[in-house]
Amino acid sequence: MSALLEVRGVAKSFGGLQAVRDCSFAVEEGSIAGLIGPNGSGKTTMFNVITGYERADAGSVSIGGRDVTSAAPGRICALGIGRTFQLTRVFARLTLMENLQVGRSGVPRARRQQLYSESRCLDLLDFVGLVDFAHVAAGTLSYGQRKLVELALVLAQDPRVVLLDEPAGGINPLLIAQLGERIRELNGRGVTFLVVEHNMEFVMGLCDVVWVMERGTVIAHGEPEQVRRDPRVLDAYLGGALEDEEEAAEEAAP
Amino acid sequence: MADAPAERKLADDEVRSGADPLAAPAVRRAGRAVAVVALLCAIGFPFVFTNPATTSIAFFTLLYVGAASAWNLFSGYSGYMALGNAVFYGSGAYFIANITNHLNLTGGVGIFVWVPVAGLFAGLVAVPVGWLALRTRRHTFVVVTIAIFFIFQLLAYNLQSITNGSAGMELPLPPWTAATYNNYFYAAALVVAVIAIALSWAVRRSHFGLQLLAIRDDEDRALGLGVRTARVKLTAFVLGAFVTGMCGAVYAYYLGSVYPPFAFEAIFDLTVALMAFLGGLGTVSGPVVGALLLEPLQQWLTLQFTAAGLSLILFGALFLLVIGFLPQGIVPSLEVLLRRLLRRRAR
Repeated sequence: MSALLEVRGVAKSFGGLQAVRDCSFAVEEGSIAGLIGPNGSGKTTMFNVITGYERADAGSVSIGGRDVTSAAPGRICALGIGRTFQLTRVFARLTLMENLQVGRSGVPRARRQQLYSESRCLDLLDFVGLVDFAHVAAGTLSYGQRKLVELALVLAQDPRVVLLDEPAGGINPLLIAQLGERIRELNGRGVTFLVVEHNMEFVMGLCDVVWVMERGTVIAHGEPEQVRRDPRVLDAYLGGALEDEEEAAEEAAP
Repeated sequence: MADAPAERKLADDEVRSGADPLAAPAVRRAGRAVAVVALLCAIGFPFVFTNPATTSIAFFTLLYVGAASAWNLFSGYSGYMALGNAVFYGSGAYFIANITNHLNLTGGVGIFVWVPVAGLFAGLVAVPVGWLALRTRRHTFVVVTIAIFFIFQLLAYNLQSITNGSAGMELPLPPWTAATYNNYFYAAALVVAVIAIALSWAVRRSHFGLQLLAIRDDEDRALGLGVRTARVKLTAFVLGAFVTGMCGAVYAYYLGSVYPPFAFEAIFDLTVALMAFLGGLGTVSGPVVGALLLEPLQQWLTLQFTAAGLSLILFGALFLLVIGFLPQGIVPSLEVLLRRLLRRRAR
């Protein structure tokens, strides 16, 4: 196995806020990697840097050994990186079928016919359980359903790596389990995943490797069990939060 | 406008327009029938109504059918509200005035050959204009298009060698009698209108059109899926300018002269937008319906109340009413109504 997606020493600040600093990690081909950390630790910013929505101040991003630091989103997409957004972004006034078709221009000409045939699009909608809504505008669907539409949008392009930004957020538990199954199924077919998620149960059950971010940088990584017991992680993630709560409780007490 | 991630809940009707697989073929068939009948009516019109006052109104109506469809082709589909299409209307008008003068052409049907060339010229003008304006989005884009419009109007006043300034330019006088004069222009406007509608229809059905609609809903997401947004937007912008330029050229020949305030007219910018809004933004038939209703009304108002300001005030009031009470426009609202009726009948 080799690193398909590699991030080295990336930094990004917004005005005075250092969102990401000296952040490095690598995602092995064929794995499901998790990226976790408290709110504001820079996970989504990292996603934006990788997919070209934000320009890195320093450091590099490479995909399959090719340097793609600060490349345009369209180019990243052409290299086979798909992503979903934390706040779902679908084309609200287009039907689900039309939503899928938008991505047509992002795949090589030779594969368009095959990837965007009507039957494959319907299969994909069936895969995410939304085939009954194929001709309904995406804006009418619930938040959770739109998350699944986003996944289908990305899968339509047959990407090598899929970046999921909080795929389980705001989704009912039944649907989360289903989502996990779908991801594992795709992974079995060779798709690599990088997942940002707050639902620990979901992440720990799904991922082969977990990277932990805090205050803009990676503080630990390893297999889920290993990470779960790592004192640094407990301190940053759980301990910190507990301490805060204790402090808050102390302050609240007269 | 290219809205940010659409977290806002869409009105049910808005979302379902064009989305009901059962009703869609029936509605489409009805639409096609209406289009054929409308075209036949348009062809027969000058044979039935021969009064020049009437055919003059009909001529302007068709001209605006073309111009409003052209505006919708870019702004309606992409969500970028351009308020400077008079730039291309004026460019077409001045182009045909210049070419006929330079070549010393005599008036007649032959002049119409230059109309598509004037459209191409306007399309050429749209390349740098669009390149500049499309670097911005939303409100900034609207303001930039208005600013570019005023720059062109100023140029028309001041580029004496090309426009003859405020003295204006004359076009060759057609040899036709007063009784048939309007008919030639009516035919030309009809051809331009049909081209505009056909283009708008073809774009709506194509993948190119889908990309424009995706840009309207969420441009950054489209970009991330590999849509070449800059190229798609500019192409639609230039296509719209091409048709608008043809309209301007026919208009100039009809008037027989070109002056800066008539060629580059701010009211034109608002009128075409209002027509598309009233009829239904982003639909093929919306701007057509809007123009068919508004242009005769405008002509009538101008005739009834010669005080120039009054018709403008009424127009402004109408714009507010449309935005307030019929935000989707006539066509989508009717479509929803028709679907409901069909569904009720099916039960």
